[in-house]
Amino acid sequence: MNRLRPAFVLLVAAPALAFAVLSTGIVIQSRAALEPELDQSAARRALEYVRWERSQRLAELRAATGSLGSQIAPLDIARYAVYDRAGRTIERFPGDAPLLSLEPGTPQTEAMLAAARRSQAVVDFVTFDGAPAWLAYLPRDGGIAVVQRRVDPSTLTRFETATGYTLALYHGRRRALAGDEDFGARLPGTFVDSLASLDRALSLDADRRAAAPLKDFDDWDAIGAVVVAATASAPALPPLPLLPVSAIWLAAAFTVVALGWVTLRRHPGILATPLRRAFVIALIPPALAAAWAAGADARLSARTTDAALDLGARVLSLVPRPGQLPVERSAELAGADVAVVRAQGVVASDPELGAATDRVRGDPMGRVRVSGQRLAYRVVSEEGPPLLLLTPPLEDARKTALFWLAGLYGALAAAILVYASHARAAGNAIELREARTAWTFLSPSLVLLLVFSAAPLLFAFYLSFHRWNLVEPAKPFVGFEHYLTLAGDGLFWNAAKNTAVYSLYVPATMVCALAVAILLNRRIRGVALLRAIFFLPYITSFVAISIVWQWMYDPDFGLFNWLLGLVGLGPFPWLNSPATALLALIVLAVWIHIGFQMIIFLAGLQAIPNELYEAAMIDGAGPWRRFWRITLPLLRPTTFFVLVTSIIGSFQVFTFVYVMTEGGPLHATDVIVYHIYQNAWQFLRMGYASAMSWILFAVIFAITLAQFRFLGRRVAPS
Amino acid sequence: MTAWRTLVTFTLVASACAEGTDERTVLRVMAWAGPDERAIEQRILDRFSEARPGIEIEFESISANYRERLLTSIVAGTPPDVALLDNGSFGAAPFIARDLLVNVAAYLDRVGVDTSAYYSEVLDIFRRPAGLYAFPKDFNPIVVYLNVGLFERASVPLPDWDWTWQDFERIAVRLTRDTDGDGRNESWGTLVRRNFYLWQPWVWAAGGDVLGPEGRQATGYLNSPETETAIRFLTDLVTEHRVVPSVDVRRQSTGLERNFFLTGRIGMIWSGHWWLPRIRRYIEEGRVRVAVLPLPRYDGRDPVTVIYAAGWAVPHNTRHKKLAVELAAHLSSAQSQRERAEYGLAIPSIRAVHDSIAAADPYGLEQAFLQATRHGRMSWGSTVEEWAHVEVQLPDIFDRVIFEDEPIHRVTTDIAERIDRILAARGTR
Repeated sequence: MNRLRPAFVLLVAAPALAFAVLSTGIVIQSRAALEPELDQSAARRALEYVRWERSQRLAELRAATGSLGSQIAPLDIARYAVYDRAGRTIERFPGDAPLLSLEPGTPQTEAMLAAARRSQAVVDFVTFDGAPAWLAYLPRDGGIAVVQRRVDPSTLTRFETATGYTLALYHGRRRALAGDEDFGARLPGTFVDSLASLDRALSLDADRRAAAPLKDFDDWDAIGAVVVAATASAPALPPLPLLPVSAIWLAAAFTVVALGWVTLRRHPGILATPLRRAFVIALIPPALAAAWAAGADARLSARTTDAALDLGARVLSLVPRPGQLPVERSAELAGADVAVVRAQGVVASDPELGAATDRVRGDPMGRVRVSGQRLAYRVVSEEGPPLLLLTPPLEDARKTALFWLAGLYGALAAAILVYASHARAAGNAIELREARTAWTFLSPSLVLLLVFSAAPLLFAFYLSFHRWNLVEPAKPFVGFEHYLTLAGDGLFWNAAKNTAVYSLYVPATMVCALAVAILLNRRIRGVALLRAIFFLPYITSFVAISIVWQWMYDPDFGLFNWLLGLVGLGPFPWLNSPATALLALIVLAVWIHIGFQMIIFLAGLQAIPNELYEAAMIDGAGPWRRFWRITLPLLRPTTFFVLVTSIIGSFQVFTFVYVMTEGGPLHATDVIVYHIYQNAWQFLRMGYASAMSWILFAVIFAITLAQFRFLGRRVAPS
Repeated sequence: MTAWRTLVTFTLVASACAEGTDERTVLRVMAWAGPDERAIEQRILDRFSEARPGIEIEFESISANYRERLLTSIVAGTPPDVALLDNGSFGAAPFIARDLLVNVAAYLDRVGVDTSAYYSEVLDIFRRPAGLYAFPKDFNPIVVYLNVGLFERASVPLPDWDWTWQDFERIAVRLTRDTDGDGRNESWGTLVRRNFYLWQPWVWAAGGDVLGPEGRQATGYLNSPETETAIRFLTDLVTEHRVVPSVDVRRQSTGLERNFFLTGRIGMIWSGHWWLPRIRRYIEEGRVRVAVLPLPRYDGRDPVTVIYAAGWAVPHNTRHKKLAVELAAHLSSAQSQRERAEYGLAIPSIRAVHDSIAAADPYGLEQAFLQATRHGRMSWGSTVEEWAHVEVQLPDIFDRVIFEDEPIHRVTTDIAERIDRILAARGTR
């Protein structure tokens, strides 16, 4: 035992330390990513707010275009001009002012003119003589009015007062309207240069500044940017939370420990007592660390969601009478996925949403379930009927790191168990080192297996309990609904029946393959070529084979019916009849798989010592008796291997059906995997398809288990 | 240790340099295209990138699972900048219904697109009350190809353009012949495939339909007497008149039908413009004489055909919206359509381009397409989100009537109810 002491230390300390570091890292990274996300959310809200301002000013100008002169003072119009359709100036203010600098001929001016000609009023943001202004093109009887209106500086201060973020407007890289500081230099080159193609907000630096591109009237060209900078009153995330732990995670982690402990107590022979102690001790600290990380990450994410929704609510407070806005516009302004008016007598378009409003009485913000989906809500009730803002919470979306943490924890538990078992079994340090080396070499495969097999398997299991459509944002939990629906889905059971019938090709192929293997297991001229010919179909593209066989199966012009016709048989409809289509696929499967199974059987045959046959011949055994008494019994492991792998393969048949028949005619060749494919990718019913996948997995698992139980025992070498 | 430091420094410097000098904007275009089409599309794309230094375009031609790949790339946040969609297998309807595409109507002036230049029947496929969601590329009406040589050998005069179903049936019977008396036919009148996209126009021609006007109900439409008339007519060609070699259940065409048409074993095949490039060489070499006619009309009713069209769309979450809309417009421009028409897989969606192609056609085949287009209707795949799910139910009607000999009304009623359940179950799986 003394020799193993350093390993004990490693076993206990290293995983605990690694998990503590990893968990803390996840939470630090979480916080570092979430605060910029909050600032970017503020930039997006600022952008929506500026766009709303722009549309409001346009509405006021449209209302005033009929009598521009008398409306100038209250609207704070800097200048305007009215042109007739020939481009002649009809009216201008101030009378002696130069004509507006419209840069005629530029795509933007032309687009605005074109829109105005279509009687569509448009407004844009410009700087003119160094001052920021809204530039509106307004259709009038017989012409177009071009009006320049000053941007009210209080637009920015009101935003700062409401949200705690200073707001600056940029035209290109030049500051048009802002507080004391010029952020122009901070706008990164890539951001400014590719403004036109960016539709997202960016963080500018570590000082909590973020920017979003400001596009022109039809959202085509980026003409500038809005930049926000957090002040002391801006929402912020708390420092690393120390106390919260995720109860579910904690329970799950300790269940693993408890199960391990109970197993070791029941079977004390598995590990020696010190190892048992080490096993449990090595798993407790990581469990605590992971539970803390999960809880802290969820709390930070929830706080970010709440703060972003709160920002949205504050921006809405800047808009007069928020309750009178269309709910879709309120949601856009506030950055929520959905907004719904919460008032007696108001019927929401979605009854589920209407019902949700009743479940949130009391708290102004929190979480509510709508159509099975968990949503964060915030009630806005400054004026008019209360408005409910709803959005998917970040804590539900940010599960990737924790998923990996859980996976690592499971892998750690398994690794410790394996290591401990080896330590117990190893009589000396050399054997232990050899075991360690073996596991080191196996670990890449293990990782691949976990990532590409185990993880998708578990994810499919998760999907099977959800309504999961690729393009629908709501993915609600539906319990066993898919499994219950499957029970009554006649097409699924038809596919299951077809799959079972199709798998009959396996015994048929095995008989043929064994016969061919015995025939080709002798030293005759050209045997290698014959073996290659038999093996060739298996390594040829299945799609190519399917297309060629389609032609051979053609009822009128196909090779098979022509050959059968020579001996007075047929014609048979092959793929074109529900009665024969599946049989046609079985024949094809036999032809393809004979080569593969023959090679395996050949290997098995060549492993049978020749002396046994010689002794039998001396004893007078004929070929038939030698086959039954020597070949077949000694081929049992090979036969078992071929049977198990082929049955599994037969349940996963897809390519022939996909290429040749699409499951038809009359669903006669519809097999389970094709049915899964159709539901998942053609009908986009991922949850339902996942449930089918798990049923298929369970069936294959049960059949394989049965094969091992009933046949495997007879195969084991005595 | 020194070696490590050197390696790390080198890597950092190299990556910094790479970041600093890489100022290219890469646009991705996703479409389905064969080798010939790929070369043409690449030429069209090159013209766009040559006019815009610093822009690089990657053309991704996807032959299998196109819709699935496009959907997953959009949902995963890595969409192509421009994607080809149609109103058939790669239907635009679910993408439009879920706001996954940019409404390009607002940018028509910006990119210099005049929508009045397009066939309105094609434009409508991608148009909604709220706007336009793709620039039309090209389209295919279903027409009938006739093997003139077989008609002559069977002494059957070619029908005129105003032919009826009765004419079609009568001709098909006369073209089905056992010339050597061995009890097996050497030629057949036509070919019936169970794929719904080919028999949709026959249903319309008889005054029936698969779904009601709103596209949300099949009962009362799929099992209406008019729809059943069309189904009976087509299935009778197989079971009563026996003028077809077999009902084709195959998904992938093996090229057999083309060979049998070219060698005069099948007289009439109804298909789209995509057939022309496959048989043009034989026509030019004088090895086969072909006539093209619009589909026959049902007695007493107007002729009708179905139009399948493709259009260039911009996913809503592209990172280069302006460039992408410009590129989509470029791909749909008259010059691009003219270049594409050289290959001729489909008809240009710009009327003037099609007119000039038809005028230059030495065999007069394009005239039939012009005529058919006038009676073209868009398929349900243009507007019904669940169309992919609905469409796969329809071949069952043929199968059950032909193989199981079930009464047509029972089958259509059963399938209509199944489709109603699919349409009613929106978002419940």
